[in-house]
Amino acid sequence: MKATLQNIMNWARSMKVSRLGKWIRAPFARVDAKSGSRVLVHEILSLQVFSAALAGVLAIASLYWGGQWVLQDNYSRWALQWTQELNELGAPLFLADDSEALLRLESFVKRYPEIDRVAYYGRDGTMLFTVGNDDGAKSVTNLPSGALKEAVNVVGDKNPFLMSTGILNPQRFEILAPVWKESIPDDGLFDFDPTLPQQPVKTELLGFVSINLDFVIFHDRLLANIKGGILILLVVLVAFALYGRHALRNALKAISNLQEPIKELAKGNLQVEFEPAEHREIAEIVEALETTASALNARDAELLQLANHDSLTGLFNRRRFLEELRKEALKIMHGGHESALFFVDLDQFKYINDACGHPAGDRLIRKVADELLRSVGQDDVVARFGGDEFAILVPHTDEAGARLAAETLLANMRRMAHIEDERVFHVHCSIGITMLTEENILHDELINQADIACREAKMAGRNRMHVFEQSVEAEQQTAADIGWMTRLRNALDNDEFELRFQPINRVDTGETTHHEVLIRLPGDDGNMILPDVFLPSAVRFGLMSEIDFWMIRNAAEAYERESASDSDLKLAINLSANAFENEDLTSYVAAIFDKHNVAPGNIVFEITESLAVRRPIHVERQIAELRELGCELALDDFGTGYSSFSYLQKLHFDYIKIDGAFVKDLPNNPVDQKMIRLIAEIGREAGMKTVAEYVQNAETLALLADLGVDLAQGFFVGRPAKKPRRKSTPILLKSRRTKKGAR
Amino acid sequence: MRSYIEQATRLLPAALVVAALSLAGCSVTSPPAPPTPIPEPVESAPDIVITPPPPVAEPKAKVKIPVPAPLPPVAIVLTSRKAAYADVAEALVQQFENHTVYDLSNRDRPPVTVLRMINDSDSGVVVAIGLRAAKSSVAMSNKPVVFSQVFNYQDHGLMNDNTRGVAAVPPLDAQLAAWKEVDPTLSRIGAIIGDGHEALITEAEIAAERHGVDLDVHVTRSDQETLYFFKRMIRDIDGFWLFPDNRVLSGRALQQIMDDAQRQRVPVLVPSEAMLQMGASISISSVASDIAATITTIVRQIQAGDIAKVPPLSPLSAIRVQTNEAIQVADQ
Repeated sequence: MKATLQNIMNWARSMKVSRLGKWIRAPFARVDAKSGSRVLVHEILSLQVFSAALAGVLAIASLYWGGQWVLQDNYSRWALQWTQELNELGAPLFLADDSEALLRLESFVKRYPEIDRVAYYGRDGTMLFTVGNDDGAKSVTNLPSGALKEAVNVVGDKNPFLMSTGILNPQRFEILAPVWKESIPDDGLFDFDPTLPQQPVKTELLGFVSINLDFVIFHDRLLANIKGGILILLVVLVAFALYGRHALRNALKAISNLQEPIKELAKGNLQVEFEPAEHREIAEIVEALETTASALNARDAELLQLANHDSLTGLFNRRRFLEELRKEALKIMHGGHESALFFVDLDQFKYINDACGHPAGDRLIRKVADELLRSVGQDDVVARFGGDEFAILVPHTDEAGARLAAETLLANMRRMAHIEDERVFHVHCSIGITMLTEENILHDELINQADIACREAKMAGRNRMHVFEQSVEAEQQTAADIGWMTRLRNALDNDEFELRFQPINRVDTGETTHHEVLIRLPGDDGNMILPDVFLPSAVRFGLMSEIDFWMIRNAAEAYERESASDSDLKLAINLSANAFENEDLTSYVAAIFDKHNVAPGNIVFEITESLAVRRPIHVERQIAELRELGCELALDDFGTGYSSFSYLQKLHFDYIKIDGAFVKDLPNNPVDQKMIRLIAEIGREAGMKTVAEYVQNAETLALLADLGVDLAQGFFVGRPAKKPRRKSTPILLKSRRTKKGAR
Repeated sequence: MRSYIEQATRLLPAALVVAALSLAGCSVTSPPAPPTPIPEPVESAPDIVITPPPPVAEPKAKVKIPVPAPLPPVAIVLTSRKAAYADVAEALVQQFENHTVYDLSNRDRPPVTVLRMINDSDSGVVVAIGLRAAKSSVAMSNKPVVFSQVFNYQDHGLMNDNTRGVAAVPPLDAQLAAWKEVDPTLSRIGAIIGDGHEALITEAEIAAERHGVDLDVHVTRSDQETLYFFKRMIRDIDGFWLFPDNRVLSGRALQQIMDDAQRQRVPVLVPSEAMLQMGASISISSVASDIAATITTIVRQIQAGDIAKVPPLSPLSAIRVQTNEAIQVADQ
């Protein structure tokens, strides 16, 4: 049985029954005209109707064949019964010229229209007489001898007749039976013993009878009943289809009701409401959708929070603040009132960072943020612009009110004491104020104005405020700042930046190990503008992250291009703190490297010491991801920042780039020499290579070799070039080396 | 069976007197007597028992009763040793002191040999019991033949000047009387018989009229026909009288008749006790002693030279009734 089923399944697969199933389902898969997708109600209903119709057809076929079988069985029994009766009726016809017997026979035949014709034959098969309901008397002929013999053989049998039926016409029967009489041989029944199982019998063959039967009436009646059944079935099917459609729609209404809310959800409307469902399955789906919407809402809120807020302080970030500023500007355009923008910069924040470390600096920033929030009004907007810079929007205030608010803020800040490492620090701030008026509502200009005012406050001695005064210089400065912003924006949009490649060589062999990628901006006069000039503006105007990504993309393109001729090409790319503000940094790097077939092991990312040692959690994670990607990491500008050597051990960098300030006057500065030697030794112990920047001459290079520095970079080693070229630096003899300051 | 024979033997003298008296006044072969008034229904119980004959009164005057002449030696030819024939033979040998019994079922002696022996013997009369014995005897014997236990004698040309017979069935009137005794509700009966028994049919009709019963008789020529008519009459009758005409009966027909009669709850009267087990409700058969007595009477008449006075077929006078509950023997 199992083998048979397996064979059937294999056959079905070979016959691609699944395709057959699709073909069968195709007509039922009504497609919605608008959306082009299949309609569930129609499909279910179509399948149900089809199933019902199929069942009905099978039922009717069974009814027909079953009825036929029953009829056939009944025909056989009737035929046998009539044969026996005709046998009885016919016997007198053979034994005597009994006209009554013939009448009885005719009467019998007439009673049954199913009997077409009855014919009696003599013992030799000669047709003696025939009676019938049809007009076939003339067609009755004598029996052939073969039929005679067969009929004689059944005399005395349990079924003493021969029956044949047509294949094409199964309701027609032809029966041939012998007519014989039996008698008890014992005269007077004196010898008759009823207990004998086999009574002696004297048999005498009288002749034969043939009967032609046609049960077409019953057959036609069966067909009529079946036709009636089909009609009823069709009516029931149609009614079922109509009712089923209605019932299905009602049943699936709960699912249909989900369509609109799900569409809204897909559009991003997370406030959508779902109707409660009565069915368990739908209720579970609704519950899941509501949970999803809630989760999406929560995630959106979280993302919004992350997108709009500073992760350290929870204040608005620059992006969000600018939005508020724009909104306020629009209000002022329509309302005509005034508002004030404060730019708050902490005084000497670097000192606390230097003294207590960056975690302490972060704690201070949070405290300042709290103080700012406490110091401003409910409608005021406070944001952290980055580092130790904050911005405050004070709506609906004139200049006097702004000054008063600023004074209050300054006083609160003066009173604020920050305790760190059992030391008390008093942190002050400088506040630059600019007024938002109908004439002065461009947010770029406003930020710039407030920034300028803040700088004025700092220059005036810090711990004070200054209100921006529109002057020609101020306008020029503002215009210049805005000009940089526009220029940088255009440079990014039009891909105007250019890359330069400066080699970094081994001190001992003079061979180039890799190139640092530097960014330049072509000036109007054809000269290249150095990054020191435009990068601060880029930071100020929030374009630094884009510049970082531009660098990564173009450096990768350059790598792809140049590595064709230099398979060992290795590049060092600078990443600013702003680059790490982007959560997609690592995935972007991976995608770009993949696109341009960059081997991650041939890329070094240079990160400033200040960013590295601050170690915000997300920066630490992204550094780890870059390392996992296969990239190397360099600690840039080492020595100028806030680190201690304990941090160096924990950071796992591949290179330490010693700040140029230590190298610039190395031959004449023994303190710098000692410093560099120390850094080189520690680097060696920590497994990090040291790179000295700003190498301008051979003497410095030689001295760096003595001090144990591994690599050198600077004009003497190689100037930045449009393409990365390996350029060996000459190695000086030791006898030509002098140690000034070491006498 | 033996007890019945012994009982019958003991009552034989009285029975003979009764039979003689009854024969004196009626004969089956004579024209039928006018119908006698229907007797009052007997209120006695259905069980009919044999009553001892009344005591013979002492003759007042001495009357010289002639001593019957001794019976001639007879040759008793049996068709077979079946009870129907052997019982009669046994009753006969009680009658005839000088007899010889020949059994045709003995294959060592074919009928030709037997009849040759009989012809060579001093037997005066051949008593043939059964059809085969009768046929052989009539065909080959040179002596008068008295046959019994032959129903369809007319089919075999048994009747001639030198042959006489005894009815194969007991008197139909007595049969019907006994049946009515058993079943007083009987009102319409049917009967089927083969051709050649017109006298029997007439006797049955007379008896039916005498006992107030409608009789529907069909003459058939085959068992098929018998069945045909039986099936059609069964619903209209409350009793069926089965005559032992083997020519129109077969084993299957008999069984069919019995089955249908049982289904329709129609009692059937059968000619032998053995057929009661097929489902018949009453059997009425002849009494061997009665047959023997009748044969004896015929033989005496033949011996007296009065064969011409003997009717071709002598009726019987006794019936043996058996129902499924009790055995009843009654005289007419």
